[in-house]
Amino acid sequence: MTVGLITAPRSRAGPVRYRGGRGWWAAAGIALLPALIPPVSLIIQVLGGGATLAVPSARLIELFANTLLLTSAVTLTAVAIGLATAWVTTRVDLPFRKGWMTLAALPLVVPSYVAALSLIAATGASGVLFEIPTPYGFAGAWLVLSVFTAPLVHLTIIPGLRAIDPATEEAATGLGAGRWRVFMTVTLPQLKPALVSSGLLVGLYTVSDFGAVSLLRFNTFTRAIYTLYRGQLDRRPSATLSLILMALAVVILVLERRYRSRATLHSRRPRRARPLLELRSWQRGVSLSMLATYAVLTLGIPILVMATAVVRGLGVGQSVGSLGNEAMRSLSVASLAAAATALVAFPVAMVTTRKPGRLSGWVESVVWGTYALPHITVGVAAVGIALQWARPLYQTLIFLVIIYVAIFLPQAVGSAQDSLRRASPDLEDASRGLGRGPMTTLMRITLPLAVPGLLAGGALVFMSVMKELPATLLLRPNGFETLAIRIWSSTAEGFLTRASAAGLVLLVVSIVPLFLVMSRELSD
Amino acid sequence: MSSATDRLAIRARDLSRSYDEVVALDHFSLDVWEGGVVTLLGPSGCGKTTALRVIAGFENAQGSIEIHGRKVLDDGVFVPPEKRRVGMVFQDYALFPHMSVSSNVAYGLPRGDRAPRVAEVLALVGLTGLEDRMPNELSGGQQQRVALARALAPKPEVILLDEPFSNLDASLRDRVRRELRLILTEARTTAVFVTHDQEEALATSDIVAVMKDGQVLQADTPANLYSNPANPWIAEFLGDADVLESEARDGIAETPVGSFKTDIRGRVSVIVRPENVQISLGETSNAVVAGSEFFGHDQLVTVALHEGTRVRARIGPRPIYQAGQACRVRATDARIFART
Repeated sequence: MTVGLITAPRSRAGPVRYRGGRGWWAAAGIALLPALIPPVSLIIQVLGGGATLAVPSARLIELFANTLLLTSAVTLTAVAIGLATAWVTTRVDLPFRKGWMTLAALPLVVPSYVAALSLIAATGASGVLFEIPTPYGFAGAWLVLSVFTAPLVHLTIIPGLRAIDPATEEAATGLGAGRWRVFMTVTLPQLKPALVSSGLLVGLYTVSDFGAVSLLRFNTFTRAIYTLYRGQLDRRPSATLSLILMALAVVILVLERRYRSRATLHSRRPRRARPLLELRSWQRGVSLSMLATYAVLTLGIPILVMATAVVRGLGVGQSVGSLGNEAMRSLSVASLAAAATALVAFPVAMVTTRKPGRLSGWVESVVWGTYALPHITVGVAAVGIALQWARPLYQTLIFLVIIYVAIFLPQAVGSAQDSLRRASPDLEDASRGLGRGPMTTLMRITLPLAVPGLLAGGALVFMSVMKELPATLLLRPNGFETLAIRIWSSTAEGFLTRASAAGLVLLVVSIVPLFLVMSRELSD
Repeated sequence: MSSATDRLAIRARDLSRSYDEVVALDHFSLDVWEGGVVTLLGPSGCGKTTALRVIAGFENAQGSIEIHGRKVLDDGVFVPPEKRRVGMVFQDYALFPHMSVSSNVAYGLPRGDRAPRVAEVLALVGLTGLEDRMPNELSGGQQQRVALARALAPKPEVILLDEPFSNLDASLRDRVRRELRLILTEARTTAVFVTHDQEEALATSDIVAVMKDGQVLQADTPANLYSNPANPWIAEFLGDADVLESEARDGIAETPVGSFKTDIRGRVSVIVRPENVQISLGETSNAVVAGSEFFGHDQLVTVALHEGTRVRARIGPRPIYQAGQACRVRATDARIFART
C-alpha cells in the first residue's frame, strides 16, 4: 500500500488525514528559518570566536543584580496595579465599567521609550509639569515599566476572574466568611495561576525592555549590550551578553507556558452570571479615583506633556522636523512586515493545528521560543549573521523585514491558529467527500475560514512593528529613520520637541486600532 | 439482501488500523448490498467511526475496499476521498459556516446549472425556502437536513452517516429518524450508519453489524440479531437479557425458570429476555418479587430466584406486584451458549 506521511493522530480532534502534507511541512520549515537565525547565530559567534565578555566580572554581577532588581520590583508593582484594575472593573458596579476596563488596557500601546520620554519631558529643570530633577536610574525605570506593563496583568487576570464560579465564593460567604476573608481564601487562590502567569509576562517584558532603561540610564543587560555593540569593533562581548540574556528570557517563557496550561485546565465556564458588587459610595469613590489616576498617569500625562513640549518648542522657534517622511517609512515597513508575517504564518498554523505529532510540537516550540527573545539580542545576532555570511543583506530593508517576520511570527501564528481551530477539520473532509481535491478545498474552505485570523494577526504585527525599537536600531538601512527611531534618538540627544511630536503621531496611530480590538475582546 | 439486483455496494475486507498502541480496526470486514441500509453498532471506542472514515477515504488502513466493484483501497491502491463518490454526513454536520444553505448544498455539484438540483434536494429534505440562510441561523434539526441534502446532492453511490442523530433532542430524534429513512428510500441510496444506540440501530436498518474491538461480531437483520445473537455479549448489548448458569446433560439445560433443549454439553449460559419471562402466583414459589418499574404500556418486574440470581420479566401493566410477594417464574424461550 502506498502509505505516505501517515503518523498516528493523538485524538479525534485533530486526526492526521490521508496522504500528503509534504508541501505544508516544507512551507512551514521555510517560514521557521528566520526564527532560527538569532539563537543559532549567537551560539556560532560565541562558540566560534570564544566567549569573551570583555566585561569585568564585577560589572557582570552588577548587571545581573540591576536586571533582577528591576525585574522583581516591576513585576510586584505591576501585578498589584493590574490586579486592582482587573478586580474593580470586573466585579464592582461602577458607572461606565466596560469603558474603564478598556481604558486600563490601553497603556499597553504606549511604547516604553515614549513613556520614558514623557517622564523626561515632564520633569527636570525645564520640566513641563514638575520642576524636580528627572528620576534617572532605577526609580525612573521602575516607575515607567510598572505603570505601563500593568495592562498585561489586567488582561490576564480578567478572564481568570471571570472563570471563577460564583458559587465557590457564595459557599464561603454561606459558611460565615466575610468579604475580605472570601477574597483571601477563595478568590485569590483560584487566581494564582493567572497571577503567576501574568507576573512572568511582566518579567519577560522587563528583562527585554530597551527603550525605558536606555533613555532613563539604568544599566541592565539590554542597555549594556547596546553600549558594548556601539562601543567596540569586537562583536563577541555583545554576543555573549546577548546569549546570557536570551537564556534568561527563555527560562521565564518556559515557566510562563507551564503556568498558563495549568491556568486553562482550571478555568471552566461558570454556570451563571455573577451579580456585580454594590459598594458604598465612598468605596466607589475610591475605586473610581484609582482608575482615573491610572488613566491620567498613563494616557493623560504623556499626551499632555508631549503636546505642551511641542507647543512650547514651536514657540521658541524649534522645528518638529519632517514628520511625514518618518511616518511614511514606519507605515510602509510595518505594512510590508505585517503582510509577509501573515503569509508565512499560515503554513505554520496549518501544520500545528492540522497535523499534530512530535514534529509539529517542535514547530510550535520554535515559534513560541522566538516570542521570548529580547529584540536587542535578535538584533545583535542578525547583524552577526549578516556580516559573516550575507554581507549584501546587511542594512537592507529586506533583511529588516525578514527579522521582523522572525520576531513577530508568534503573534500572527497564534491568531491564525485560533481561526483554524475554530474550523473543524471535518469541514475539509466534507469538502473532499463532496468530490473536491486538496487545492479546491484549500481555496474555498480552509483559506476563507483562516482569513479573519490572518488579518487580525497581520494587524497585531503591524502595530508591533510600528513601535519596535531595538532591532530596528541595529538593522535599519543607513538613514532609514522611522518614528520609533526618531523618538528614541531625539530624546537621547535632548531634542524633546522633535521627540514629542513623533511620539504623539505614534500614539494616535496605534491607539485607535487597539481601542477597537480591546473593546471587542473584553466584552464578556 | 432485500435488493433485487443483489449487487454489492461496499465490500470491505480485513481492514486494520491502529493509532499508537490502540487498535481501532482489527480485520474488519463488511458487505453492504446496493440500496441497503446498514448500521454499524457498538460501544464507544469499538472502531465504528474509524471504519466509516476509512471507507470514505479520510483515513488509510490495511486491507481492501471495493465500492460498486471498483477497488478504492488495496495494496498499492489508495483512491482519494474526492474520487470515491461517497457522501458523508458528519456527527457535527460540518456545514461550511461561511456559505449559505444553497451554497453548501451546491458545493459538491459539477459546474454549470446547479440550481435545479439544489432545489430538488432541498425539497426532498423539506427545507425549501431556507436557501439563503447561513448555517448558524438554523436549528439543529435543520442543520442536520442541510448536511444530508449536501451529501445527497451529487448522487453518491453510497452515503455514510456518523451518529447523525446524536446532537438532536430526544423528542426530535425519533421524528427525524423516520423522515431520514423515508428520504433515503426515496433517493434509493445505499446508506451506512454509525451509532451506539441499539434502539436506533434496530429501528432504522435492514442490516445491523455489531462491532466490538475493531471487528464485526455479527451482521444480520434486526429481528434475527435480536432473537439469535451469536454470543452472550451481543445478547446483552442488544436489549435486556439476564444470564443464568447451568450444566447441560442429555440435550437439556435445567434452570430454575425452566428446561431448554440444547446440543451443547457441559457448562452453559442460559440467556433469557424479559419479554419471555412469565410470573404467576398461587403455585409453588421459586422466587420473590424484588421490585418493579412501571412504564404505562408495560412494566419490568425484577424477581429474585430462591437460588440467588435475579431475573427481569416484562409483563403487561396489570397486575401490580408488591415487593416481597412470593411467585413462580417461568421462561418460555432462551438462548444457550457454551461457557468458557
